[in-house]
Amino acid sequence: MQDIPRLYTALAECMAAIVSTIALRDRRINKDMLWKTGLFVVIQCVFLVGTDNVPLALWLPCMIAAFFNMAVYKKCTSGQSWIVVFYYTLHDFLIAELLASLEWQLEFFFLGARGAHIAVRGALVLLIYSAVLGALVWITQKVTFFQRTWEITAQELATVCGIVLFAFGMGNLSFLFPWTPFTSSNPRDIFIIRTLVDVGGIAVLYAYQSRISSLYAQQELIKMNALVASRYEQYRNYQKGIELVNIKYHDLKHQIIGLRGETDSVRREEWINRMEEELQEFRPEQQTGNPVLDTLLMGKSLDFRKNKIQFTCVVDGSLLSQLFVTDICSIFGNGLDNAIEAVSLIEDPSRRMIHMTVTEKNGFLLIMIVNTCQAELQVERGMPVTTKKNPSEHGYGMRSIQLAAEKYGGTVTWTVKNEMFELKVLIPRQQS
Amino acid sequence: MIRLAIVEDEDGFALQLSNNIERYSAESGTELQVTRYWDGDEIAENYQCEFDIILMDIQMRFMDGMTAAEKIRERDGNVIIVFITNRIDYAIRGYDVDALDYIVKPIEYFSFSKKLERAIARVRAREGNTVTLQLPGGFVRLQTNDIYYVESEGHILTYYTGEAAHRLRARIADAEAMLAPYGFFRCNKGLLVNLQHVKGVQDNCCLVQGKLLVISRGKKNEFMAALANYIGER
Repeated sequence: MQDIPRLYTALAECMAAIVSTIALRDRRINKDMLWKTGLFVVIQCVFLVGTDNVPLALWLPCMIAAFFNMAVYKKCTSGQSWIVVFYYTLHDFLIAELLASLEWQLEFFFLGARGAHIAVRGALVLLIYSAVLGALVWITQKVTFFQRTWEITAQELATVCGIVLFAFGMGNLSFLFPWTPFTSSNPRDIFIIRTLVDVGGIAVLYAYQSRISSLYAQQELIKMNALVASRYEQYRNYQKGIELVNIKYHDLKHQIIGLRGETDSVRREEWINRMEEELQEFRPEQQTGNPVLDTLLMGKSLDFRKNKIQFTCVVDGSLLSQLFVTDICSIFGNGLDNAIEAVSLIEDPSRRMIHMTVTEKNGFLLIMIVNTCQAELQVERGMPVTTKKNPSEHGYGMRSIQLAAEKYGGTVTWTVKNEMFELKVLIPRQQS
Repeated sequence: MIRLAIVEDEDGFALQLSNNIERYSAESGTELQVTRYWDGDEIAENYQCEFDIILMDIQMRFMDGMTAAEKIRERDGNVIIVFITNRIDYAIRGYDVDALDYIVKPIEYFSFSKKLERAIARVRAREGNTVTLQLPGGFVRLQTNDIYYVESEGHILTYYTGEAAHRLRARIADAEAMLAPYGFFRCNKGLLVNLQHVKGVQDNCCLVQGKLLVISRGKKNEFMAALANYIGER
């Protein structure tokens, strides 16, 4: 009488698993997912209903098997790693426990164990399951823990596993051992204990989640701020360095004039001419029309020369006046550094090319940084895999560009085609 | 067939360029037709919009490449101009004439081929295509470039172009499959937009021909990414 019908449990588990899977897939639903979902629902229902009358000793293995079926379903439809899959399946499992327990408690109270018409019971099941799931989805959106799926560590998984096991164990203790101080043999007590323990478990889970999320957000913010500051610092250093170069440049020019006046030797004259020509090549001024970008490019040109990179650009710098200095530093500093890093890995120096454009198109500001890259480019966490020495800094350069662009309602994308990596930053032009 | 012009006063470099072009044409299987000019004024005078890509030397005797490009731009906003230079700092002024790229002397095949490849891809992307619609009153052929957007109401699709609105019974999913390769994006359930004509984005709408079209909330990021890719490739 206190046993929840197996079909109810199966339905609760299916609904919880499907709802969180849809969220994990960014709400993309296609045919492939639909048939896998159908198959999963059938397997889960048949399995749980079919094992309804097994001995008590086999009850736990059955629950574990049901759990793994949910995990396999999630693995097949979400494409996430096993850690992520188990993490979310544990969630789903506990939520399903709550759904089933709460519904059965209410049904038992209002309709009795076997009293009402099947349509009434079905409607009640769907109503309560949907209402509770809807509320939980609403809460998870507030807590926003669906957003950082990639960073789940084994330790977090273990903690969540502990929370779920504890809640599940306490909730079901009464069925196995009715005579302990924490259990009861009265059906209504059992229901209340089970529902409350499940609610408590989910509350603890969500609290844990939100704490971890805010910790991560904080850490990310600190790293991003440090990166932005370092880019700005780099720009300031370039500025100082370029002032020096400017002084040297004019200084040397005067020296040459002086030397030329003193000598009449032909060879010396030639040598001086050559020196002047060389100086000409190192002319410090860049003229993009944006002083910040000029300074950055001047600094980077040292890297281009050092790594034998062929750099070309078509830039209308006046378009950048709508951006803050720090954002220009973030976008171009990180974008060019990533490009330099990528082409430097190419063995043949004649294949190291970077091309940059800043143009206005369709009423948008379009910044493109294109570079040659090695054929195999690995992608992880939705970003090209870093070649940086410290892999934990992976993606921060790109994230920093993204944040800068988003400030202006812009967007960042990248593609790899024909061994060319293209970074595109699209920012709506400010109406003035 | 892609029509190329080389504007270069030094025969040595011109030969190098045409050799590189021939090699690229053979390796990629692209048909290229090359015309040689010896000075900027030669191509700029009586320019008839007959080229897809112009490779233009910057320093020439009578009319320098930049001036020639300016004159050509007055008549042809579409032709792709790639400058050839031995001085990188010239590169900066290129945006005045909407130059695509720079080729730096001495010319090396690898970088040249990559730059030519990009220029050709751009020509191809701008070409668009024609589609044939079966209207109740007969067939009509449309340039994909001329279609602003396609709207679905009930079971009726409306193709909005510059002059007219064509209405027919069809499913928007089929129209999407047909037009997606030419830069169309399904920005909400009943709306297929030609990204070429998107002139701005405000909140959750895109601006097409002075009209604000709604982008569904879940598709905003996808839309912006598609737009960036599309605009970047033309």
